[in-house]
Amino acid sequence: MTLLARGLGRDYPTPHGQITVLDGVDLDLQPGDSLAIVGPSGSGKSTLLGLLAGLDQPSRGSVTIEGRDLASMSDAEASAFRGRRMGFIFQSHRLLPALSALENVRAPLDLANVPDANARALAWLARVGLADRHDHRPRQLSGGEQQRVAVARALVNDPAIVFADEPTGSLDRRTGGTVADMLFALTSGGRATLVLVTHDEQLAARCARVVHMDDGRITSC
Amino acid sequence: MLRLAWRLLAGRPALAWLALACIAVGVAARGAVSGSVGAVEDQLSSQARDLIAADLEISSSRPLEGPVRAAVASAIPSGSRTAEARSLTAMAVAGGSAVLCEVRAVGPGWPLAGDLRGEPAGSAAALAADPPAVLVDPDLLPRLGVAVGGELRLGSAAFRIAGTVVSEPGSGGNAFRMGPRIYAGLTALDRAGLAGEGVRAKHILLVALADPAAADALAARLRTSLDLPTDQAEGMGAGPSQSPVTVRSAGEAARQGARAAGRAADLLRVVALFALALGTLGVAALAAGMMRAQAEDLAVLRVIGATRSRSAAVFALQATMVGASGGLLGTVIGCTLALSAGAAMGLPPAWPHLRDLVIGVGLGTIAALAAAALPALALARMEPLAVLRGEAPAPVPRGLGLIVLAVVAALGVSAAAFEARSWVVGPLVALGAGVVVLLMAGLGWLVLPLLSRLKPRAFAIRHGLANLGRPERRPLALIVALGLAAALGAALLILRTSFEAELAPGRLTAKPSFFAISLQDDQREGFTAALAHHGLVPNLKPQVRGRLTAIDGVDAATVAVGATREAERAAHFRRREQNLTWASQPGPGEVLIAGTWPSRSGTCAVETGWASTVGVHIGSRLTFDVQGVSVAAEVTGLRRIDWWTFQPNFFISLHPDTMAGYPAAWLGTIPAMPREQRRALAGSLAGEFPNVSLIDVADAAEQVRKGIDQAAAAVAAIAAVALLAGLAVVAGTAAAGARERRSEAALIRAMGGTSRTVAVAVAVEFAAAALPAALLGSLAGLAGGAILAGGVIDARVVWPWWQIATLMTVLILAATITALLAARSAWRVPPLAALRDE
Repeated sequence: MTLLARGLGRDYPTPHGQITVLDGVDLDLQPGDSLAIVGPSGSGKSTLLGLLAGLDQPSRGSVTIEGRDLASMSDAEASAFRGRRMGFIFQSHRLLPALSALENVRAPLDLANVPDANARALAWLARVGLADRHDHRPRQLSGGEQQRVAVARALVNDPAIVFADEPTGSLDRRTGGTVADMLFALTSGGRATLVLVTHDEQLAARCARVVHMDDGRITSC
Repeated sequence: MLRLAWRLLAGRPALAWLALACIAVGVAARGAVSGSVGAVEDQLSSQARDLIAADLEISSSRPLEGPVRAAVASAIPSGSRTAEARSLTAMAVAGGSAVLCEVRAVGPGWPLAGDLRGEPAGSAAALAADPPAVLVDPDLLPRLGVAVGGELRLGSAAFRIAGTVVSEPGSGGNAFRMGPRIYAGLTALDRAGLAGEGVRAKHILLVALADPAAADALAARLRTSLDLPTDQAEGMGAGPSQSPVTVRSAGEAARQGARAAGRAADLLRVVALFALALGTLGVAALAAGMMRAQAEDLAVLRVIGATRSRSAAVFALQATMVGASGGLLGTVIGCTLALSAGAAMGLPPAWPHLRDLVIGVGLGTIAALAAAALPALALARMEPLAVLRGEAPAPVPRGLGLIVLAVVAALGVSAAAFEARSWVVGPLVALGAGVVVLLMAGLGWLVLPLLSRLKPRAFAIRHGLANLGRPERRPLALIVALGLAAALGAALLILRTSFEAELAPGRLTAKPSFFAISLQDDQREGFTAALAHHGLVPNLKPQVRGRLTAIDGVDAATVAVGATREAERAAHFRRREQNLTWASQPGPGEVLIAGTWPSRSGTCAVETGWASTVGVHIGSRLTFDVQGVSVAAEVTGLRRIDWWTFQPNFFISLHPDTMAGYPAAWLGTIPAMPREQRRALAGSLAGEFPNVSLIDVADAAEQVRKGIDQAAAAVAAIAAVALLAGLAVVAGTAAAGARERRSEAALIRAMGGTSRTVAVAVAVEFAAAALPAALLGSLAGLAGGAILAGGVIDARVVWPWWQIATLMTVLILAATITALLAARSAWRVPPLAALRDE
């Protein structure tokens, strides 16, 4: 998947005036790329990730994926696009607490009306080693297990691009390492593009490209 | 601490405002009732002299005798003026039509306060002129088919219609009328034969004082000198003396009217309490959300030195702030509504009374504290480290929780008793509500997990249903609130349809066409013969009036009036004039349910409800004063009467020998007949028996129906506020989990769901919770209403199925729409903003 970001910027209004958290960001991503975005807290990493994924509207600039400007898509189009072509992994797992592990994994397939959702979801749970925990609710799983479910959910729809925001940030080193191995192993086999935000330099080093951010700008590529 | 509580509250403005709205809506219903009663009180108080057309009124069902007049003459100060009047019901006849009217015959000088105005102007002066003339209600003219300048007959005399009544004093604070009003001159009415033993009238002597402020003291002195009960001032009727006389001042009449308005509002206040109970549930739902939201802040405070009790106190302070402000706002809103309604009805503005503001603020505060009690205790018991690790505060132990709930229940029962002024009605309503609450809570625990296990293919529906299975998201408050609202609505619907069915024109065809009142003993045969010409046989029952002087030898009037509704009712039923009848066997519509029918002289059977109110049972010995003669009777049986048969029936039925030789009046019914024949029959009977009043049952039923409609409209208005409070609970439940919901919605949208997916999930979640609540609540309300309609009021129960279906649909739709509105931020906030908010 080709992703182009041009002159990307994001401002937030505050009672004391407008603040700019992202400004003048340009990025090119080609199919199969893996990109790590690193930088200190408040540098705009997660904001950039959200804008690239179409989870927020930029104040200026554009994000184009496969030739289509995300801003030109309606809410329904953008959602459908995310459901078919993107996968997300968040720092704090963010599983739907009312649903079982299996239901969480199959949720993107259900939303996209994929017919064999259950079998595919079960297969992905098996790939992350949690087939026997398929009917457990998130609160019945450990943090590492929850993140493995989140990885399976992000990849179950064979996404063209995976966005991961601090995917190992809430896990201990060993568990985080396991999840990271799994993430890279599962994405490197295909043509999926991986964009991850991290503070972890070792994790960043496993990506083909690393961009550094500070004060809302890319300082080095 | 106050500042901290305020800061924390202000940090969650949406939850705080919603909680305040829940309390305000709950209290507003009460404020509207109190405001309306206050407006009536103020109106009566400001126009007290107009109520009796004087400063002092001395009245009796018999002509005022010499000793009474002498006592009045010696008591009133010089410079006072007096006037006489008489009130009675009589048939007005014109052109073959007859209409039962309330006649007020007035003597020279009447009114001593206020103004009787007629149209054309000055027509009121014709009452004192010759030939005799009358002023009539405008409504009467078309019913008799006459016009101003025409003629009507009252008794044996003809009267010229001088004009129509535009305004009149002397309503006495009683809005009920047996028929249209007619004003006539006192002496002209005497000449019409509408005086003497055969006519039931109220004889009135009025006094205007040079100093109206002295009226209360003078009334008290007169009661003492005439040996009358002192509590006549409170509207407790005449005493048991041989010549029953009532003395009341203008101020006392106003206060009696205000008390009557207050009594009428008792039921409305209890219904209004439903609204507050629902509002409390809303605050409970919000308090749980607020507790989760503030747990981390308070945990940090604990870490830096705050005690457990301080954490809980901060939370309780927030509840107090919300409750007190909500109570104040609710009372002001309610009074404003009452003010607007009063203005629409032409009443002068009446501002909120301080008492109502204090009660409103008090109820709001108590409700909010009750709602916040469990979360506050959970906060007091929380372990800061666990909360900072992201765990929710542990729930309060079951035993402690049950104690808190018992205290809250006791508060609810006490509030219901206070509002209903009854330790019977109030707690019974609270008990009924408590049963519904338990049913609904049980329903929530049973049905919601089952619903959550349904796995439809559509993701939005499955997620909406799955949310019902999460213990922290289980909308018990919503289910209980909607269940209570449905129960209240269903009970009102079944009561109304059952009443309406009893009074429906189709059903009235089986009921008598007329009540005949004041038929004298010597007229009975002639009356029966006159009806026989039309092929009709009347059902006549003898009647004498007497006062209950003693029960088992103890003075019946010694019971204190008391403050409760039951005590007032018991005192009223003991002291009022009793209608006694006698019969050798039960008549139509009455059934002996205990004991035996009176089989010997000196025995009686009494109606079961009367017996319970007055406090008598089988074996009780009752003593009556009948026209100065003492009559004793032992209760041998209890009867149940079907009042809906509209047959003449009495609370007390004596053995015929007990009353042998007493001159009786007769009360009867004339069988059903086509409406067109009624006019002709009434016209001919009124001409032949001028002292007999004929009440058209269809007209009476229409009056009752109108009364029920008005009461139902008032109750429905308060119930609508209760429904609003129920919807506030829905909004509170949706808002309490708004943060979580936003986060989940963002996630769903990140995975490919749309705003519509999220909205459908929310709609399914709330509609699925509302459906069983509306269903079971309606069934509970129907059951309660049926018991009340069939068992207590003895009406034929009519099941309003389609109205119930409408009620349920409205409740479910309203709950779903409210939830969608309250939770709309879930799909309106950009996903990234929601994800970063956590």
